[in-house]
Amino acid sequence: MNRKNVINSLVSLLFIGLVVLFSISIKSLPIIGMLFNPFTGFTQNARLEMEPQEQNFDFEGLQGNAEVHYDTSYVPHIFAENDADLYFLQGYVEAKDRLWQMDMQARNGMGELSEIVGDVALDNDKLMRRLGINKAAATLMEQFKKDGTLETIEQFSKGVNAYISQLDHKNLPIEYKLMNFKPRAYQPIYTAVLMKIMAMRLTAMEADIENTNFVNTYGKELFDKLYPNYYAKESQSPIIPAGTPFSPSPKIDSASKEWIANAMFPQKVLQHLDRHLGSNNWAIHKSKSETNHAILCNDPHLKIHLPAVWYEMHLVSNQQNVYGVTMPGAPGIVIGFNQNIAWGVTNAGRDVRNWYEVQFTDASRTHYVIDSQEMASTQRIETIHVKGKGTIIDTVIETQFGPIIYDKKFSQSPMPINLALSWTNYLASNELKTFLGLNKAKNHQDYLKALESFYCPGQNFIYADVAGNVAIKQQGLFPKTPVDKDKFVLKGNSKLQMMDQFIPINENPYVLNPERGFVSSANQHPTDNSYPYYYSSGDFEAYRNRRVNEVLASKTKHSIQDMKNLQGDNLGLMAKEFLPVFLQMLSPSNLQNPTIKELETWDYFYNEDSKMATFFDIWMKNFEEMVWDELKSEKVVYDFPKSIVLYHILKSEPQFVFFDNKSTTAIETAQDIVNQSFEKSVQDYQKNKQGWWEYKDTEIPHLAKIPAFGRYHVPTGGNKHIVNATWKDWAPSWRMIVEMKPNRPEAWVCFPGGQSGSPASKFYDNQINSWAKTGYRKVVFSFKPSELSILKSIYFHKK
Amino acid sequence: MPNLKNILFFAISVAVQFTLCYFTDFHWTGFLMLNIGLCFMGHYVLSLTNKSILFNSFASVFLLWLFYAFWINHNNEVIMYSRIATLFHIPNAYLLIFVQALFGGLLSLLSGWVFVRWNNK
Repeated sequence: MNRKNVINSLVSLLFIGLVVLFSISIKSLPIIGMLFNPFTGFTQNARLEMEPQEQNFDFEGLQGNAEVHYDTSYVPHIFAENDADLYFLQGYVEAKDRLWQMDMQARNGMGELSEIVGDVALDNDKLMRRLGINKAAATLMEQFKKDGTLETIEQFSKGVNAYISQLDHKNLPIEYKLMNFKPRAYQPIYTAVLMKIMAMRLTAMEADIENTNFVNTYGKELFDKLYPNYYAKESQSPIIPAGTPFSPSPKIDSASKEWIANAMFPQKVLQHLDRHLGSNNWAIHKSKSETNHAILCNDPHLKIHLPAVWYEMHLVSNQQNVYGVTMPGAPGIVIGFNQNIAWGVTNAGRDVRNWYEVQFTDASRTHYVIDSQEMASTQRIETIHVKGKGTIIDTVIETQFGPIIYDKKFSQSPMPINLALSWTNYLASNELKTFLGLNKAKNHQDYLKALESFYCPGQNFIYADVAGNVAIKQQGLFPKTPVDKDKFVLKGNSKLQMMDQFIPINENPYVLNPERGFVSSANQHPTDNSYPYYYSSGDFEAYRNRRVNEVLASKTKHSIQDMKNLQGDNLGLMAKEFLPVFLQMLSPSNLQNPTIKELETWDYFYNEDSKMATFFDIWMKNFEEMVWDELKSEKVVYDFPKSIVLYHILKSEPQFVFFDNKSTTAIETAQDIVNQSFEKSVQDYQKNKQGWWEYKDTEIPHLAKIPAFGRYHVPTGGNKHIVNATWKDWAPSWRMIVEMKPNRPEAWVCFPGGQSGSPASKFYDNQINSWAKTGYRKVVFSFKPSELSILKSIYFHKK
Repeated sequence: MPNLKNILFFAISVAVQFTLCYFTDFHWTGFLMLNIGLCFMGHYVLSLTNKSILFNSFASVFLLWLFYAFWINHNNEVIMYSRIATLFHIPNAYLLIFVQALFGGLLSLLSGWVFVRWNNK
């Protein structure tokens, strides 16, 4: 071989080598060649934003002609001749703007993320498989079939698939290009999976593991004091106004102490990360409204991300005219209004999950014992494909108490015992039917009828109509259970412990046009303690509800502006209650500290620039950490008692045993801890002296945590336990105010994100700045396209 | 000095590259295959020198990509290019356009070089 040939070969090898190098994905990195080529990569995603203002498509699945018009906020208004076409186009349009998000959500719920991202998602996938989200979704699908809801989802899926069939590789959403996978055909069960996942996020509020650890360490008496069923009367303003009569109380037993598991648990259950999710809603009767029309407001607080949690739409057919938001992947509107009614939701947060320590006869776990009788367990084999690692088999053991979720084999969180989960999310119900029913509801009876099939997650459905009525119902299927049974991990050895009885749906808390002229909810107790059934939550909220009710009661009539002000209300009720008590307890030397003057003049508002909000937040955190030092352990997990409980103890029992710091020989009182935590907080605060928003540092990350696609350091006020519940990464994910003007309701909305799911679009995150300042946008609720200012139109014709 | 033949070759190259890449759903390496095809044409039909062929390989792709990316980026109000620049720690969107065009141009040059080497054996 001569020299020339060698050089030729080397040049060729270099060329081929580079082409191959840029064609493969190393360690989940994107394929550089494809990404950087402007005719295949990210440049094409930018090009897609230059689509013509008018497009025309023919589809075989359509029965008639239909139009989609995007208004200047990029909200699609779909006008179809019938419902079948309407849902088809809803699927098409959701896919067009949010395909990747819909795909990822379904994969997440089905435990198929590892297939895309590798073993970082393996524990998540295992958890989803063990929770049996797929199985629960299959049960839901059966119900869809029985109720005739399936047709709607099938039309929706066809629409999604119609969009996918139009997609060239070059037009795939950017995330597919970066993560190197392709969309798959949409199946109706993905919608069922989405519903089950939402139910999962909104029902993981219990603290059974933490409670069991506590009661096994400190006893039931102390437990009852620190984790009471009801907060002090002045610290609760229930959803159903206190004093409202209920039907006579059935006899309720207390749970047997013998039922509580003896084990100590090293960690929380995984979904507890979502525990602080909450929401506000309220509606004022026409008699309390300056406009003489009922006004309904709703702001669901969820983990916020980009693409945005919600997708805003207007759906018009010969059967309905409805406006609001949906979760990408769900047909219909989840929160919104039509010509006649408006509705919204907050989370009930009631405990609908029981954990059981199942007593297997031996390590093979083929048999377990109930009431001294041996029962056979069954096995569900879950096959998880892991990118770059092959296939992993997880065997899920099913018992009469539910599937075993945690055990020694659950890798990230091995538990010393076999923990089975019983959960209302596994039961046959039809939550989608509720939303589709509400979309078309004309009056109060339709609203109540629509709610009937809604079991899980329990929600506070608020209602207002053009006649000026307002109502609220806490709807869900809630266990009828002996007192305190649901608060602990149960032994799982007797049928008596099973979750098999439920409170009749018609006895769920409900009120129509109460005397006070408004209805409201903010994740608090639904009732006072005269409600005939026992119930609990690991997380009833104690502050927002009181503030909302106080403001609503403070005026005889409210304007739309009042409603906007209330959704953006930054008053920190917790600070307002704690701070005066703290200040009283400070020593004379601490009272000399220059911060005190500022604190004394602080109005307790967590406004964007407030420095005292930062200081108080640090102080409160330090104080609680110091008080509950006994409950911080690496080996055993506990739940800090609620701040509202601590507040009453602080005021009434300064010698309470938990005020003592275990690491010192002296015996501390409340006063000592208040002073020590103050001194520490002064030091912590001095480091940066940040304003509230800088300290809180609200962020809206991308769903796959791609940093360049997220929004960070968002300047905004609010906090948890505040009506404007904007915290670090969860916040009001949709703010809506609807005035029920007859025939033509008006609405003002905003959400942290934008309509488009494409980071190349100016509509990807364009609403964030306005949202951060609790700004609003008036929506266009039209009857015909000519009433819209149109940005872009798509015309669909039947083939 | 560029003569008419070179200019014609450049114009044909850019037109072919743009038309086929823009209107089809080509694999990302499509432009390299096209360039090799164009090199054959340049050599056998237009009898161009190796230098011209090499220069054209680079310039046709580099300039096409540069202007195409610039045009799209301009219409997109620099939204996507800013995000991708951030993603790859490139200081700004315009530098990303340059890097992108250079990437294509150099690979295309390399494909031309492979053609020239084997063709002049």
